Amino acid sequence: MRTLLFLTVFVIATCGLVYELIAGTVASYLLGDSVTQFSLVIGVYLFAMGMGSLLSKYLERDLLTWFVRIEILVGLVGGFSSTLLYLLFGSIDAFHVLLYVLVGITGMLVGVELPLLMRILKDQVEFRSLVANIFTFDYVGALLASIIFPLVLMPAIGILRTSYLFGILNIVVGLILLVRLKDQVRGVVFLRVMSLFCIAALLVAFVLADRVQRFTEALAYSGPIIHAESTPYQRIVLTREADGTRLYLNGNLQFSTYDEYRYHEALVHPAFMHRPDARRILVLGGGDGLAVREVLKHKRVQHVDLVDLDPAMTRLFSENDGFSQLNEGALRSSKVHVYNADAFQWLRQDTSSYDIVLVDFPDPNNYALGKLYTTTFYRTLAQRLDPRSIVAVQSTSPYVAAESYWCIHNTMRHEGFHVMPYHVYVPSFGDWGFFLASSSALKENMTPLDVQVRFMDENTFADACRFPPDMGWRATEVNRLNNQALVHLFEREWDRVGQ
Amino acid sequence: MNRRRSLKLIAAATAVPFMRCTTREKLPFPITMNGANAAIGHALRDGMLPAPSATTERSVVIVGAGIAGLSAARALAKAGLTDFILLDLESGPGGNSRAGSCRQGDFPLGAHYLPLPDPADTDLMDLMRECGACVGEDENGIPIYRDDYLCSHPQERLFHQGAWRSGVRPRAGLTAEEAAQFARFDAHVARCAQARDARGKWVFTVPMADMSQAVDVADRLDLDDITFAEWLDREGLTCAPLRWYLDYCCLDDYGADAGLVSAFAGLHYFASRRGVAANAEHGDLLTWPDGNGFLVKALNRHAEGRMHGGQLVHAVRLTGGNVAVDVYDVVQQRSHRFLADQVIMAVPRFIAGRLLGPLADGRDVQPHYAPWVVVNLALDAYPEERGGEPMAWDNVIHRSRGLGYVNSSHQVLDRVRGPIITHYRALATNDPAAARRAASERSAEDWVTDALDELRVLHPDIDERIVEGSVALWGHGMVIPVPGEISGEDRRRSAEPIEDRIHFAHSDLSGISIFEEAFHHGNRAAREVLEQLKSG
Ligand SMILES: Cc1cc2nc3c(=O)[nH]c(=O)nc-3n(C[C@H](O)[C@H](O)[C@H](O)COP(=O)(O)OP(=O)(O)OC[C@H]3O[C@@H](n4cnc5c(N)ncnc54)[C@H](O)[C@@H]3O)c2cc1C
Repeated sequence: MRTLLFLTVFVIATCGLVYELIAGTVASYLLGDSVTQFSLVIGVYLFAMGMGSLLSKYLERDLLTWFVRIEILVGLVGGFSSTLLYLLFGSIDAFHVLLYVLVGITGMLVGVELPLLMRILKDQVEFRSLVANIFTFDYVGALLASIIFPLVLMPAIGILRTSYLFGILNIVVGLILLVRLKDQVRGVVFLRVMSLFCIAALLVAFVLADRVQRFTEALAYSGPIIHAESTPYQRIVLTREADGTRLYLNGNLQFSTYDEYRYHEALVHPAFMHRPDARRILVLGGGDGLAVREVLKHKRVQHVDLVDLDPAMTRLFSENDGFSQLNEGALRSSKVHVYNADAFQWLRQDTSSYDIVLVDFPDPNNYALGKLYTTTFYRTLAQRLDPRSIVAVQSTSPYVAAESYWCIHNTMRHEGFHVMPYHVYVPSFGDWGFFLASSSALKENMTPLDVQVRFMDENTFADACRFPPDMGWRATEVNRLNNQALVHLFEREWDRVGQ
Repeated sequence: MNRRRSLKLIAAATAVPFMRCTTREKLPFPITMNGANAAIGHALRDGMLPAPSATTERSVVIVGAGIAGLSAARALAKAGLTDFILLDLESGPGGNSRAGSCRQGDFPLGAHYLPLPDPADTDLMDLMRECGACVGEDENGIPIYRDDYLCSHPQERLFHQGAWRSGVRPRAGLTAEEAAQFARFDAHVARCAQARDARGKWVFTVPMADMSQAVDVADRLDLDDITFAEWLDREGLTCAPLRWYLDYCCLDDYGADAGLVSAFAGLHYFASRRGVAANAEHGDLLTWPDGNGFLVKALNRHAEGRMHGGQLVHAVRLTGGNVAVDVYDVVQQRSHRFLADQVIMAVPRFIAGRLLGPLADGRDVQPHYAPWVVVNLALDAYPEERGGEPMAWDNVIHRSRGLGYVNSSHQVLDRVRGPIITHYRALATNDPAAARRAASERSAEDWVTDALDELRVLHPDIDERIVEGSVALWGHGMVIPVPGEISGEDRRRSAEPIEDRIHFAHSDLSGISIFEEAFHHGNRAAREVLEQLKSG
């Protein structure tokens, strides 16, 4: 009997510390800045435990009954907190409040546990050894938790399953006491049913953890989040990795600072090789300003219009000092004019013409984006060009999504463009495709660049224009507003690789 | 009712032609009331309008500026005629195809789309080229349409069993027998679509007038004697998914279900479409953010300066060698007489009968009409979805009271603005007149509340998204092709000119309420008039 109770102390101590670690991990993961987050979480948690101890004195009778009730509650709250935090991150504004409320509740409940147990045991064990034993088991449990959490649990079963597992342990402890000491507990049947029900719920969650995970955005990122923002158009998330910063839009990787130069040099410089005297440039999409950074390397450029749907994106990358460093302050240049509008609508209203247009839209993974790759779009675009103008279009991966890639090609061809396909290797993305397009024939030999590049020079471009047979041209439907053929192809091809 | 009182009533109803009633406590956004101006219409029925105080002569007067009247005006203008006017009791042209507008943009108050036209319909193809919808032909002579006028993909989705599925036709979870019934129905339709009469003309085609003896064929097949539901029963096409689908289609096109419309009309919906385009599939359609308001604008270009709004025509009589058209000007509150050589009555049959009085002579037999309510809601952003397919142009709810909604911003290429959605409901019952009476007693708020009850299930946050609302109530929205309507004598009679001076043009004359029929009758009536002017 006494052994049972001391074992209980051991288990609940382990659970208590695990919840604290989980909360700290979740907080530093989602909110970044792990030192601050861990300190705050630990502080709030310990304080709440203190409050719990204080409150325990108001429980006068039926101590064992209370203990079992508390175990069920701790199991539930502790078990599901991380899930709740992950699910709601991004959809609620007061995320900090939710975080600390959950940490507080868990801490408080855990704080009630030990004083209660001490009082339950006080008549059976001499006070001196009671205190000594309780604290021994408590600290040993804590040690165990702090060792197995980072070394075993996180790598083996992940944060969600760890939470569920310890939730279950908490309730099981209560249940065992309930079964063994049922004559000292009131409402045995109800508590037993409740316990079993909650265990079952946690078990289901444990089994379905992978599905839950798919719903929780934050777990999709491999590194801690340093900025997250929901706008009417998309969810913007920046994470920090060992090798640099990454930008995700709606969970899709847009760039990694580690290799984005390859992507942006490939998007920008080939167009200049064909039109070295370009002065007026239009950039569609690309609110991160990285393409503009490459454009501004060309000293002849006098005027850049950047059209990006989302004011939050362009604001982030022009006003925030940290992020605007990534584009070397390109969006603050006096040559650059930023417009927040739908590119399609903007093109229709615009009346000027451009020497180079860089089309850097997200991949066509929904109908709204699919419209920006249609015959109608390219026809509208053509009105902003003169016969020597060059268009460069980012066009997804010709390796993973060959049909999508060539569908874009065929659509532009259908609208009378001369199209030159090329592709480069960008480690974060894989083999990535682009097109140069113009209303007149594109020359094979082009002018060498007079700017410093790390990747895209004339030789790289010459190689980039060669396609092995597995990425070679194929016939596809033309992408129109009334068939959205590209979105269908794109979904099929990327689904196949499970992205 | 004495005359003074009735005049006051008209003044009250017309001072604000599009009655603006900003709502009270319940709904937190402004609602505009649109649709047919019932108050003026009732004044006409009660027949208490002042006698004309002045007279003007005109070569041709067109009564009604709906699609039929506008089409007639266009045909006259294109033939070089200038001495004509177009009168409508509403302030603007368009009738059931009118558009409304709010800060966020334009939206349809009624008609929404035009199925791809049959290339053999030369008049309609001419309009298509004129309005920029048809931009050329491919090497086989197949028309090419402007991409952003063709309904964008996805065209339709169905909310069924808690999620959105693509297409309106139920496909998931059909039993073998149900699938077989769908296939049998398709086979019937295919046969009907191929059927020609003795002179080689299509039995089912649009416009109806081109069907030549189709009516007789229909008669022979007795398809116009029984309801569509009876015919389906007879053919053993009874399974629930098929019948729901066919009821939905009939409601959508005729404002009445398969139990009310004739078998001929039911099949006509499926078998009459011969539209093709080089850059679209069979069955595609043309639509615009302002619905068929786009076509109204295109037609109205020819009537610019000759279309007069706020003109309630209340009597049309033969006088000597002329036709007298008496008009009440709802703004100036006095009547005026036009003496015309030729008149085109481009108003519904139930109105034409009244205006003609003793002249009607059998043309005043009223067809059945389905009342419609159209609720437009301007949203500040796309609403939350319930899963499944993304928002389509037409969004239909399985087994619901309304017909679902159309995303009127579907063709808008600008993602910055929120959408305007157009919710449709046909008040279909066996007793449309009673439904009309009941409807006239409800407020704009009531209609919006009804629509919201349905929409909330699909979009939980819809209430928070709404910026503005608009309700259009069409008491006599569509003529219902009940059995006997299409093949009957009344319909034929109602299109017969009176003494080669008064001609008729309206979709009602076909017994089927669609753009092509109205357009056809407008053109035909204009040809009759030009013929008379030439010979007279
Ligand atoms: C809700 C709804 C949705 C529809 N959707 C479609 C659709 O998507 N596609 C389609 O093809 N068709 C649709 N229709 C059918 C539509 O009615 C026809 O397309 C077309 O607009 C009919 O034109 P009309 O000229 O025959 O008649 P109307 O539109 O009825 O025109 C008659 C005109 O006469 C005027 N008038 C009446 N009495 C008088 C008077 N005494 N004095 C002066 N003027 C008078 C009226 O104000 C009106 O402008 C829809 C109809 C409704 C009600």
